[in-house]
Amino acid sequence: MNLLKIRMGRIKYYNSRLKTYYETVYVVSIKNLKLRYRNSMLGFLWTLINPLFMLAIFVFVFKQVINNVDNYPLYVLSGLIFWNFFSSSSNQILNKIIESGGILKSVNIPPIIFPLSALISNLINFLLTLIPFLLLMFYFGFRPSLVTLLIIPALILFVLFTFSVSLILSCFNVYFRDIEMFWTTITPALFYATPVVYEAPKNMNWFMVLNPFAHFIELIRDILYRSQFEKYDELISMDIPNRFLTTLLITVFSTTLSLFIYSKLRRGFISNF
Amino acid sequence: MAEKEIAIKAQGLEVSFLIQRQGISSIKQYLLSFGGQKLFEKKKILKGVDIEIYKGECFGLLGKNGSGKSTLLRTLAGIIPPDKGSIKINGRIAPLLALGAGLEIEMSGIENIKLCCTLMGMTQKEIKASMSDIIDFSELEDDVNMQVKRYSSGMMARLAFSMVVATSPDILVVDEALAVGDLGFQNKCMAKISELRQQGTTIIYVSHNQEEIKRICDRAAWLKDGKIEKIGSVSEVGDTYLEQFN
Repeated sequence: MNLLKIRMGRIKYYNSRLKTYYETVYVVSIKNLKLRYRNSMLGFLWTLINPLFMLAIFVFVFKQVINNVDNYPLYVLSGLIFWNFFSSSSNQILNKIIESGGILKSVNIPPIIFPLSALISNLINFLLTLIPFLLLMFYFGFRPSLVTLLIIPALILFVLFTFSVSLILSCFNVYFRDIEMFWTTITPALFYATPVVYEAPKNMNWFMVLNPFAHFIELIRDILYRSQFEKYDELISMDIPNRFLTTLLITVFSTTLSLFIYSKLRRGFISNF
Repeated sequence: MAEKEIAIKAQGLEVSFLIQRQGISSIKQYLLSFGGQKLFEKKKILKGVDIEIYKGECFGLLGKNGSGKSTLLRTLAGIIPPDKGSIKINGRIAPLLALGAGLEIEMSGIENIKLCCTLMGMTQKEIKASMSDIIDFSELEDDVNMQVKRYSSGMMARLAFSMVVATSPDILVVDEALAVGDLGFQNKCMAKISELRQQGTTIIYVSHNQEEIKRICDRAAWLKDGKIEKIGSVSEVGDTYLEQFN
């Protein structure tokens, strides 16, 4: 009986802690959103300008080279907005644990709160940009259907995958600041190694198969782009389920790995701030 | 002494830091030695610290820069996991290790109160309830709506101390950083500290100024190179601490 009482007390304690952690994530996310565009004149518009600018470049320049893709603007846009979410999130989250060193040195809270809050504020930002971009896609000829709804589970997987990659980078960045330079260098390379602005060969070659980003972009493409042109049945019964399975496996693996790395490395964070 | 309730009890605390070997040459060496050499080395900061602090007392912690005072406090606060040893804490330790560490300079004082108090573990309800107390105590008045980057260091210290006191901790850690505030505010802080003490709050006062410690503390410990050199009544410890300089 006594033991049970202690147990219950423990659970209550953890519940109340979890509740404050939840509140902390919420408050820090809001802070990130508020701070992001303070002192900038165009503010939120920058989130739209960046992809639009890239879109313009690819449509005007690459169109000369790539001409085997139907409705190229829609093709590029559907990949670009998601890629942009990935690259901006990972580049911001990367610094979050180091940046919060001062707080983590004085308050006993789990460091993961800071990368997580950065992810959430980025996600909110992203969802807000999705509205004008969907209108733009509509302008380029995109017509939503029931298949479009599959973007919701696809996005959840993509967000989790983005977070796990960023969390790993963020943890190692505490130990080796080189990670930041490394990632700034590697991001554009990854962009071209992933079929964002060009079409992957029909039988994806070994590199595309090994590149986890390619699977996510292809899944999003199937839902937002190919569903517009190709035969419905084959896409629904074959391609999309297969891609969902692959991306699900990748996400489960990367999330587990990132949490494992985080739990191993967090002990040494404080001595490296 | 034996009947006194214990607020903090630590036994055989050992804490070490991972120190990175800086520079390209070390990575090259590391690669050349095929992992035989280590990229990080362990540096012992605390080498077996035993300490007992009783409930409601004012405990002074003396020691030179780099003697491990902050590390000891962080370990007691649960921020650094110890390699060895045990810690028992009765109550909640307030975070006052680095004053103003969590302040976001681009945001206003009010926004910072909301943010920092959340980080220190207060719920939104509690923050709302104690908001006016915090502002009153800090004496910042209308300046709370100003961005913190326009604050002087003294104003930041006021804001930070007011927030920490608002968390109503069982164990309050006062760092020498308090000295940043002007005399009026320092006196106010001292008054607040003795008020808290009467309510049963345990105070840990950290300083390398033994005069100050002698004035307000009952017992003290002298930390030297990661070990407790002496622990006992404040006058005893203070005197031995002074002797080393003579």
